[in-house]
Amino acid sequence: MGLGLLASRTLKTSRILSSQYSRFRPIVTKPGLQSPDASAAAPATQPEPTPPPPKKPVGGARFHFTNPDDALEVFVDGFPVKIPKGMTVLQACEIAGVDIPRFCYHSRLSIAGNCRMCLVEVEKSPKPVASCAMPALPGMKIKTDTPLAKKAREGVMEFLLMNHPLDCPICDQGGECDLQDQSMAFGSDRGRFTEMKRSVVDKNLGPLVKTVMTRCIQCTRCVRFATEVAGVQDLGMLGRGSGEEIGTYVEKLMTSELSGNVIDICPVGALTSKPFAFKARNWELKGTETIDVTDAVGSNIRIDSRGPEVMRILPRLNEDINEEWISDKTRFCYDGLKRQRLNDPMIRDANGRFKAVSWRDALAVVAEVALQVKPEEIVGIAGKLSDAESMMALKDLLNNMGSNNVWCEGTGTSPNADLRYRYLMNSSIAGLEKADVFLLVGTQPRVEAAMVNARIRKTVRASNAKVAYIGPPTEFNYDCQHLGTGPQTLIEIAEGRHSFCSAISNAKNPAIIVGAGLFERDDKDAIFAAVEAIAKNGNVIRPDWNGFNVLLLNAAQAAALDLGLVPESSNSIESAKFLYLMGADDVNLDKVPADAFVVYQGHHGDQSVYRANVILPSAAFSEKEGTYENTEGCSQQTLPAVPTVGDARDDWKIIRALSEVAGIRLPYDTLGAIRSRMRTVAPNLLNTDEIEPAAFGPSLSLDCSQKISSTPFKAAVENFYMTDSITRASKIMAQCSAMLLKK
Amino acid sequence: MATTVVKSALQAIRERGLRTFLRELKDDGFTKCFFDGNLLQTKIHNIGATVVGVDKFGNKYYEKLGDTQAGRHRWVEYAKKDRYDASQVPPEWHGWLHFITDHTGDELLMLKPKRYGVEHKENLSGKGNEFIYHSKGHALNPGQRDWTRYQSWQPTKAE
Amino acid sequence: MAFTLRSVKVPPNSASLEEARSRVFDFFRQACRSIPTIMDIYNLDDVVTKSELRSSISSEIRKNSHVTNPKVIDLLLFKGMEELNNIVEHAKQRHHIIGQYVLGRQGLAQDLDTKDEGTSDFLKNFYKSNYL
Repeated sequence: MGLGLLASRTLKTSRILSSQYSRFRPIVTKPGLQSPDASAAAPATQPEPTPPPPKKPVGGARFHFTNPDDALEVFVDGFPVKIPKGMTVLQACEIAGVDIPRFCYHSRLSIAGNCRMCLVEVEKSPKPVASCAMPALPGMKIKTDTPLAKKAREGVMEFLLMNHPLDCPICDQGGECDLQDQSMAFGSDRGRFTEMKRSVVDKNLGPLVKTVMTRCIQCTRCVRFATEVAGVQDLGMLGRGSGEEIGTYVEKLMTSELSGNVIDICPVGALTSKPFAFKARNWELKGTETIDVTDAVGSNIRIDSRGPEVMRILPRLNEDINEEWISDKTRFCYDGLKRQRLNDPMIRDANGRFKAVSWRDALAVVAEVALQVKPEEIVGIAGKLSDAESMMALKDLLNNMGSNNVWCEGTGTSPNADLRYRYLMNSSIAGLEKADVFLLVGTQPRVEAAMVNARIRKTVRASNAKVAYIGPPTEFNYDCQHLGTGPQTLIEIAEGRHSFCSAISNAKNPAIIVGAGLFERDDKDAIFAAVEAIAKNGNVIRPDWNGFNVLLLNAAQAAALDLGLVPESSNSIESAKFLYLMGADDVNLDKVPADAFVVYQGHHGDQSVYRANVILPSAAFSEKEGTYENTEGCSQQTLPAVPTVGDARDDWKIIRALSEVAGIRLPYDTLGAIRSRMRTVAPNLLNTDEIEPAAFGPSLSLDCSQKISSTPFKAAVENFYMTDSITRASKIMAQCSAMLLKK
Repeated sequence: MATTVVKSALQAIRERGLRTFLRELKDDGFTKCFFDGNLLQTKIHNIGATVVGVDKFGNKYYEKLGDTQAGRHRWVEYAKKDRYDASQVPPEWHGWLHFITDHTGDELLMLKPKRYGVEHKENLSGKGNEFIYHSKGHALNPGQRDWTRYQSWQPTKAE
Repeated sequence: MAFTLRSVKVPPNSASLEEARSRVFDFFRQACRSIPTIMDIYNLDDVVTKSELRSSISSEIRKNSHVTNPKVIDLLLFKGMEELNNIVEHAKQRHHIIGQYVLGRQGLAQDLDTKDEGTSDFLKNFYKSNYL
């Protein structure tokens, strides 16, 4: 024992002696940093420590070298990285797999450089540099985890937290807050600030965005988003110094169809969702990655649910469709999923009152009536929210009954489903960025498909593309030339008499976007012939560029036309005796004969329910697995996020069960079986997340005997916020349309 | 003592008439006394005692200092003459009645929280399923929480 | 209340199958006698009738009708006694009784009768739930 003690004592003294020089070494956790001079002085003598394998780029950051000569090499923490010219230091670090903390920088917005959180050390630079605003130069040696960078970030964090309220426990951003996360890494465990914190008056930005402006750290992401992406000049920065605040210049609401995205980009809890306020904490939620169906874009969304209810909807990154934004309708329609739901099968009795019955009775009644009427008097209409599987089942059911009168609402009386390019956005949504001239025919993308509109605006901002528009007067959030209101202007362009023709023919990649609202017109074939004439004259359709686009309105349309849901006769609804509505609420039911038997299969008690004789409750898009094809022909699948309500069933199951009760059993029992049936009809529907380009010959069918009428084009969507049964049931959407759409 | 009682009774008859006097006697439960020894004893006890207070249910609180046995100098005469029990005493009077405090219930009522203080309810055990207390999740609780997370469409609104 | 049942005790082993059989009948009678009490304490009057409860008890017993070993019968009897005692002593809650003896194994789909003869499994499952 004595020996051991002695030995340890000698050891201790020797250590004290040896460590005299390094008494003031910095306290850092990285072992390599403990002796910086040693590693810097003797790299030659020491064998190079085997470097860890290069990290993966952060968040799957994508980049491509347009020109190999433009590549330059920088060193991030000692590792060489090849990056294209013009990238910032922060982007170079991301490619090297180093995540730089940031608040104001956002990859889709312009660079502000005002939060200073992304400070890194660059060799031979006297001060730490803000990496988000610093272009990477060849041979730059970037150090991201040196004591200097860490100290700089800690200082920035301390200043940010100085005026930030400590209300994380009651903040809706708590748990997914950038400031909270980064203060875990760079925040001090105690504050040195003893003065009063600043407080800012909250702004009223409308029914969707809740503001707690005291929490704001002035990153100006929301201001940049509003001016750049959303295209509304509503938000701005007022004041200087500690009096600086974000606000609308005069007291007004934020009137943008993309305003909900400022909630996502706000790194703190200053802008949060008003409908979601205090409803749930984000760690209680189960996320389900699925597809939006409120418009034809098919935005990728994540449905956050708690138990049986949908709590909120967030966007999911998809560069080809919605980037990382979604429209307000998509984001806030979810409370419609909880209201006006059909939860029991119901039969209308002799007094005209609905009575809840069992599925067995309801299906028996429907089957009995369906078998009594003549086959040509059976009509089926799929709704705008129907998935491809159920539309396939509906078509098979009606065909087995001997009727071919089945179509999807919104496609008009005689849709042209033979030529696939005639109803798809052929240049794809992402492809619109390549266009330099847009001609919008009878479409208002801002209300019909807000994400497509955002893409057009992006193109206009990036390349000064020219936009011209034919249709009723409407608002655009980019410069737009209003050519006319009706088909007259279209004929003028088609015949080359209009001044805009030269713009199309001079353009490199002209894009014509035709609204699907024109499907409802009687002279739709003639209009399409005129548009195709323009396309031919302007060389819009080439092997390398297809600028002929149709912007659909509803999520079900593309799949319905792919599956061939085309009515046999255009006026079949007037002679119908048995009408099967699969969620079709926007069909004009006035022409339906009074003695017709109407079956409504759907999830909401909306417009058509009141005419129905039998109600069969089905699942909404958040509750079922289904395939939807968006306007560019990309099929995607939804996943069930929450269980169905009450006694509701999946749409295809109801039709399958009805077929068996009626004695004409459809041959599929599972979703897999119905999909293999779909494969025989439209195989592209099964290639999910892939755009199936429309195949078409260059010889466009221009022969058309129809006369174009001179009635001006009508707006296809009157109220952006209320277009389908879910959004019409939503209280938030009703509030929005009351407050934001000033009538 | 008995003479004072008779004297006061006679005075009351003179002032208010015999019929009113008798009705008051009945309302005060004197008729019940003959069948209910408890009540009779309370009534006898009440003679010469001071009424300290009356709560909002009508229970009268008596006190008699002096020749009463210690611990029996405070008592209550219940408002309900036919069906009374100790749970009818509201909490503010409970303390006074049980010698926990010398503050009367009227004084303690000032301390009752306005915002979340609830009404006193007597214990109705044994009075039948519709009266007795049921916990939140009980099958017979009329105010059971509705766990449906959606609002169903009501066909009656149609017409 | 009905705490008058014999407390659970291990009965002497049945010597023969006949003795075990008679014990089973005794147990059944005892259970049937406690049905009114059970209906009362669990408020079952609006969900089930006495005869339905009786038949569910007998079906529980008949489930083991193939057992011939008197020792096994004794063990099952003991378990049955224990269960009955728990129920009568209110050691269970209303939903336990409803789940186990009122709804039984069929779940909420009660009206399973001859109407579904000849239909496919798909349709049978469709009538029961969306998730089968």
